[in-house]
Amino acid sequence: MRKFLLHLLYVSIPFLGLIVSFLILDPFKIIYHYDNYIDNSNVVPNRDYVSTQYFIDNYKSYNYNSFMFGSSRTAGIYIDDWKKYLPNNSSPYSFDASGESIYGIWKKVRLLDSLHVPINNALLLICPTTTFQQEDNVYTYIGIKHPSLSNEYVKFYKIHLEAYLHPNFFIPYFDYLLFKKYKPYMEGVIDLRSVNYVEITNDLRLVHSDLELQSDSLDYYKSRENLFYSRNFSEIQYRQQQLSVRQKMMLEEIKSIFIKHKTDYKILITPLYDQIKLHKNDSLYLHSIFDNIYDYSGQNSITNNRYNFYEDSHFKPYVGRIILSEINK
Amino acid sequence: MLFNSLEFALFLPIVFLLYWFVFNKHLRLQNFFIVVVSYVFYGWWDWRFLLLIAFTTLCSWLSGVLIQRYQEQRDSNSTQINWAKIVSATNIILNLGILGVFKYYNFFVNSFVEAFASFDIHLQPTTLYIILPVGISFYTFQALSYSIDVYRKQLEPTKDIVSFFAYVSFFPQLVAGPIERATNLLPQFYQKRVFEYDKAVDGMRQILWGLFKKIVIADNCAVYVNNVFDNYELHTGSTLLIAAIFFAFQIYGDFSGYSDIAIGTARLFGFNLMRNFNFPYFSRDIAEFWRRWHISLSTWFRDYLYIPLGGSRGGKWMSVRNTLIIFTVSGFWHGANWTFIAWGLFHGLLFLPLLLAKKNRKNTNSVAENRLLPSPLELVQMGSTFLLVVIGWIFFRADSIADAINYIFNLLQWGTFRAVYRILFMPEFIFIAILLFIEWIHRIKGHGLDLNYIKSKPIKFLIYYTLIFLIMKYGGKSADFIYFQF
Repeated sequence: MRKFLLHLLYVSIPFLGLIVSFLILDPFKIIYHYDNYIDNSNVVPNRDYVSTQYFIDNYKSYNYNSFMFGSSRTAGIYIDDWKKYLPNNSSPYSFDASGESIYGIWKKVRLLDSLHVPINNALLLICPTTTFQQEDNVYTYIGIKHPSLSNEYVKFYKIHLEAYLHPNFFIPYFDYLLFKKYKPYMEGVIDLRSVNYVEITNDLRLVHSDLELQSDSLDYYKSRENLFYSRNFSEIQYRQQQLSVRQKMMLEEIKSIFIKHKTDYKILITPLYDQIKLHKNDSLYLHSIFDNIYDYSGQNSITNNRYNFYEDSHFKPYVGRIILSEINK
Repeated sequence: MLFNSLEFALFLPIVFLLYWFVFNKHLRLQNFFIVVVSYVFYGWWDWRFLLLIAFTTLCSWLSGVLIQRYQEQRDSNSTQINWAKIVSATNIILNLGILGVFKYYNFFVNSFVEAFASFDIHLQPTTLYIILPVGISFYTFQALSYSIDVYRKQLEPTKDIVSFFAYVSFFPQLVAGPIERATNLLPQFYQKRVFEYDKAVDGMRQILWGLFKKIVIADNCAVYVNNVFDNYELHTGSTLLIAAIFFAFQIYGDFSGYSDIAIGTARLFGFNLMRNFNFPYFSRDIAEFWRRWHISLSTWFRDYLYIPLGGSRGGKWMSVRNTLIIFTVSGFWHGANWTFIAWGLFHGLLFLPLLLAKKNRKNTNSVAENRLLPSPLELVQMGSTFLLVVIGWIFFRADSIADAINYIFNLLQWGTFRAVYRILFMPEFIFIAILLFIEWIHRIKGHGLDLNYIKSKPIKFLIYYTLIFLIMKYGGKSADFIYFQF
């Protein structure tokens, strides 16, 4: 038996080493506590974890009472810009996540309610392509929700460990860690692009795109010609119906929590380059639940102009300022 | 709990250490521990069905005790009613009844409704929303074999209820076999197990090989196969042929991979399970294929259906009838769909010419025995047998018989064989080539990674690490084992 266990240990050494390195290096920044999730991190983060953990760590210090929910489309609306339209005592927070779904927004609103955090103001960004894509948690290390939201603690750490143990992750990860040189095969694991999260407000800024635009805006769009395809619609285009029964229930609960908190909310259906509107029934349902819905999807002055977008899905902050001024008239 | 999951990777070492270091002092305690961990293993999927398996086990154990008691009474008084037969029959009906309700109820109802509808009689059926308990066909057959063997006086019934529960629920083979006979497995629970180094090391190798077959072969092929079979009307003949070939390897990797992990795991705990696959795609005819594919099921049907029906003792035509019956029932065992029945019947029809020509036991040895490569004739025989098996798998995989027939017609388009060379450049093909190469080398061994003949440790470790790396790097999207649904 001793010999067998020793042999098993020899065979297992590389894997045990990997597991130990996972625990020590904490590549996803999910094991230890961090004041800042940006510094010294070249690994694509789970944005939901960062937003939620940062909130849990700081909500008592900063007395957050106003929240912006949504996916990375929130990068188009700076918290500082939104704050101009909020009452003086507001302390806004960008509670976003990558590819945020209505499930994630629902869970976040519920978390706020359970923690007795006041939700005085809310700006809810509904992306026609992502918000209603999922009605449950997403089991990828980028997509899985913070366990405080989902209550799936074991699954959360399991998904991250499994992702780490995959050669497609740990080989580029160690390669970069040791040699500090980015190689094309590391794409998707190592991200050296400069993305900035503003301290306190957790505001997402696509700095890398802004820098690229500043250096040569013509080349920026030329290199993304394939993303800005031609759209010659003779009539209004609608997406397929997306809202499920469960998602409707989530929307209703969000509304009831807003009512409970007397929240001054606004629902923004974000502009997308594809100019395809939400399905009429989905739009009607949203209007039956919420007031203050502002729909910027489909054909309009914002979506007509490709230069209003970083690529086909993220609108620029100056567009956000235009939208804010319009919806707060 | 899936073998290819992180949960099982934690479960197995914990159970292994507790089994050998904590519960090894008392046999009964060790057996009880096996029952507990087996129920945890099964309950991980859905704890509600633990009651069902416990009920099935209890009924079969009781039937064994009662059969022996009534047989002894009848031996002393032959005029008495044959209660042993009644108990045995009741147990069979009960077990098959449970299996029938959970697995076949909706199928029979829908089939009746469709049959009546063809006479313009429209019935309003009551179908039930039934979840099929994982592995029900496997443990039901295992429990059945026990009471039948006791009735036939081929096995002494056990009074040891813990051992019997351990036998039916033994976690390595609980949900997808091999379907063990009580005559082989049950006595192993009566004996004190002694840890054997060589056996455990070989068990680990077999687990590794099983994981490679499941994770690299089956899960990768599954992606291509699902895409094609779900929209087969849209694809060209060559794509359909490649998907059918990939499905042959998907189901082989999936099922034989599970069996390898099961047998290897059992060996870690000191148990010997029966062999379930013996390199079936190296078969030279269909009869040989069935001696090498899902051996525990084929032999089960042989012993508990074919022989009781008269086997080949009643002449040629009885033999033909019985052969067709067991192939059809074997197909039906796989699932409540006409496609499985068609698959079974198809194999039965392929088997018949060999049976009638008395050539069904022609190839009982290994192909190219004592040679490195097969002869051209053997190559043709293996290739043609494989193609026939692939056609059968189309029925097995299709949603309906009409779909299967359309699939085959679409496959036979002009250009099918001209464009099929594409398969050579697909990663799945490279994995399959690795599988075939390794299995060919080990075709007379116990399993694909039976490396006892290699003395060099560095070479062995190189093989282990290469396979582990392939599993980690090229592991397809984790999926359930196909045979769980049976």
